[in-house]
Amino acid sequence: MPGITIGFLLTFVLAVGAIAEAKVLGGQQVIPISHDIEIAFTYAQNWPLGAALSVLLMLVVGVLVILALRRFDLDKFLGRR
Amino acid sequence: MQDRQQRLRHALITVWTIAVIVFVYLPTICITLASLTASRYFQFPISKWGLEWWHKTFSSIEIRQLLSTSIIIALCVTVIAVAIAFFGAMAFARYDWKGRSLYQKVILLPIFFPQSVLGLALLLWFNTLGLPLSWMTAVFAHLVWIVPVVTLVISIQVYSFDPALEEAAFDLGASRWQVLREVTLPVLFPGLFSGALFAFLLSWGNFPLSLFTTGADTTVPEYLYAKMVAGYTPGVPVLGTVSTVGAAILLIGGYGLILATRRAKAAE
Repeated sequence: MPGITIGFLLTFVLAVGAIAEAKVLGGQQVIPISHDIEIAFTYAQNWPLGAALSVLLMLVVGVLVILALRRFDLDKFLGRR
Repeated sequence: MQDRQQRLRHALITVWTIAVIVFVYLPTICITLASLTASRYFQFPISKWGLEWWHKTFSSIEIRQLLSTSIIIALCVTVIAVAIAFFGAMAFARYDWKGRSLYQKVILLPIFFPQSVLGLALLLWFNTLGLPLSWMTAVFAHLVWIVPVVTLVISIQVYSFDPALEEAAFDLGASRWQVLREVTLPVLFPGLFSGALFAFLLSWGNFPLSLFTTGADTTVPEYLYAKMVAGYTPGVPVLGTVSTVGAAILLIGGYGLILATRRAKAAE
């Protein structure tokens, strides 16, 4: 179960942070939040909006990770003897 | 009946395995095929085959510049990350100290941090501190994300390290430095080596962190991305293939080296 949870987290985080894949393959039809953040900081020049979106993303991921990591004893999970 | 069920199960497992392998490797194969075209644009199926884009790519000074920037960044990241992560891993797994479980969680958090946001945050900091953006700031940015990963990789090796070995060496009169050099480092070498491979490859292929922090310098993934968005030439799949094959050779070579040292040790 710890392995599955960590795997879930890693996949989730990599997917949520992937800009290039979303841009090239998404064809601008769907804008994920990481792309939206980049737009806010570059074309739109709306830095406060970008910062707010970043904090939102950080909160979502951070809460997930902290909840997951709190439940496991890392020593036991990584195989300390 | 039993026999037939088992055969069916085996057939399904085979089909599934092949499907996964195709799914994982098909993009790489397509990129290689796309690089072998003679035409200026991307067409599929390829109407005219040719190697001229390979020739053009390798004779381009710009591409050479890209490759050398990427390699320098990756090498710097590898050296610094392994050095920091080695001590980090010792604190992670070898020693018991107050606050260790908190440290373990804090060091793992950056791995789960969305990289694009991390790159952006670092960019803001570099600007605030007035640091000029170049490949050096990119090294720093890569380190923020790669050091925790390498720490984790090395600490898995440290978990299987028996502290009694170090204590025995101390009892035999070895100094702290001798113990580190003669006992700890050789025993942990496979972990350090795979940590170094991780560091190099993660830095080599990293896009989101480089995008925000390299400034005027450009790495290979950045160039590929920029060219894919605007100004596609078949040089893009050529460089993509070179980058992928280079990483694969490094990985297979590293794995072979570890196997060879293990075999040499077993033969002793």
